[in-house]
Amino acid sequence: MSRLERIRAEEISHTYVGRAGETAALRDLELVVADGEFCGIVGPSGCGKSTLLAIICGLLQPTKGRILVDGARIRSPSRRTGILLQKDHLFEWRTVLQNAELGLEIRGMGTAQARRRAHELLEAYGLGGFEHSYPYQLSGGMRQRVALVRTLATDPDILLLDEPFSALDYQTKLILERDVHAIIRRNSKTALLITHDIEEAVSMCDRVIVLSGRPGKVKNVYNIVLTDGAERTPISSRDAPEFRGYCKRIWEDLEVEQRSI
Amino acid sequence: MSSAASNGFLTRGAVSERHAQFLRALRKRKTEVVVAQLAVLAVFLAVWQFAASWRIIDPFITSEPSAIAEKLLELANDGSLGYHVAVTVFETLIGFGVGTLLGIAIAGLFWWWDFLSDVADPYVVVLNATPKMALGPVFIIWLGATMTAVVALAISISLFVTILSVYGAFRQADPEKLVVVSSFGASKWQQFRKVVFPSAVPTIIATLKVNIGLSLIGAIVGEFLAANAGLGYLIIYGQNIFKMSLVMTSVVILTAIAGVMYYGVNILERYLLPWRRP
Repeated sequence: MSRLERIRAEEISHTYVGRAGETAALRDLELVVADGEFCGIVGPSGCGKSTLLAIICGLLQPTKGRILVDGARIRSPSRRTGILLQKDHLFEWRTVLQNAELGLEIRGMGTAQARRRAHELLEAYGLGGFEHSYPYQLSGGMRQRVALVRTLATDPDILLLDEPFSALDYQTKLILERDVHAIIRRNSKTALLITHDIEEAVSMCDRVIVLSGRPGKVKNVYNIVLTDGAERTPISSRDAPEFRGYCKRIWEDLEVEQRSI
Repeated sequence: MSSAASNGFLTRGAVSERHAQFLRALRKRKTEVVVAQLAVLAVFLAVWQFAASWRIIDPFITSEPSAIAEKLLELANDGSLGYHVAVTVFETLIGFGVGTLLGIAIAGLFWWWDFLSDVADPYVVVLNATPKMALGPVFIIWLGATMTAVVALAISISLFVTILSVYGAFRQADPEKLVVVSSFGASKWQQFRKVVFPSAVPTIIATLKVNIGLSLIGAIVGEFLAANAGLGYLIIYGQNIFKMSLVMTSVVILTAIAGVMYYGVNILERYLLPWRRP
């Protein structure tokens, strides 16, 4: 890989401690994501996918190992990373525009220019005219778009996506997958997508990492190479001749894991 | 549209004949409810008045609407109505304001420092369960038979319940929303300001509604025990000289004050919670 590396996870282990004892979530996990890469992580439920994302985001300190983002060790959330969660978690008491500006406010970037940027992003992602609406007035897909704008408003280079499409209906999910993919490509951002949806991972990602069951470690890595014409989209990817083959192999990997749980 | 406009008051703003029908039914019902409510009051007052006039009941014991109206006018004319109402409202609002604000501040402190909250928990629970009226004599001994003692009683009655319910709401703030702000690098203060406090606003409003009534109870009982002004004082004075019309008039005024303050909080709610699904 000749491209610059953005994320490096070195021997990450994490153990949750509770009253009942210890639960190992991750063991000696190694991971490198290159600049501009769209990397997917799939694994059986409870394999520590979300733990890994929280650690990379700097929300959680791993029991062992370290995370480097652009060569710098991560101990707290960095300006370079932005996270998108499964649910939109919009703040009901804020309007769409105020929700979009949340990150800017907290990062102390609430300048007129930044606010204009949030406004432009809303406009660009089909939310023009809804700036002063409250979240309860929006559909699920629109709400997740606002959450996306909230994440993008602070202009992170790296997007950490924690199953952001899994709560949406199928139609909305495909459209949002396409849009997020296009945004990430167009702005040459780096993305790490956590999902349990194999088709989503294969259709969106350049590389899919399969984790083993708890404690999670890297089981297999697939470089996704599809022959699907000039401009790849998550929808066109699904028509590529190689698509089914990747899905089937990843499915088999996971099936073995599920059986061993 | 022409037929829709035929009954202007009930169908104004209608966009179609069907909409007009819908609006007419809706507004008719609303009007009927208000009329029925007023009728209940009128019948109650009439029965009371006639029963007293015909000596079915003894107006010396029960008073009567005409005597209450007379007394009301008399108090209004000699200026004492305004004075006693002002004293009670002032004590209630101070008790309400301080009890609520102090309660929210302490709840915030508990959220910030959970060791403190764990230590204080049994004390707050027990103090909340204590009948605050029992503290009245304590405050009077400490603070004298003054307005300060009355206000202290009004504060104590709303303080602990505010701490408990608002702290509960602070703790129930969605942890995933905290993840969202933390991913932007929020400090603990920012977590509080952006997530924890706004999440608790509906609970705080509900607490305000309860507290306004509680503070009024605190003020009245305080005035029973130690005061020479206020509606609670008037009630006790009326009792001592066995003037039922004075007692009843004070109760009627109190009811009106409680109603006005409750609606005040309701208006505040509409202003503070525009994001609530209607």
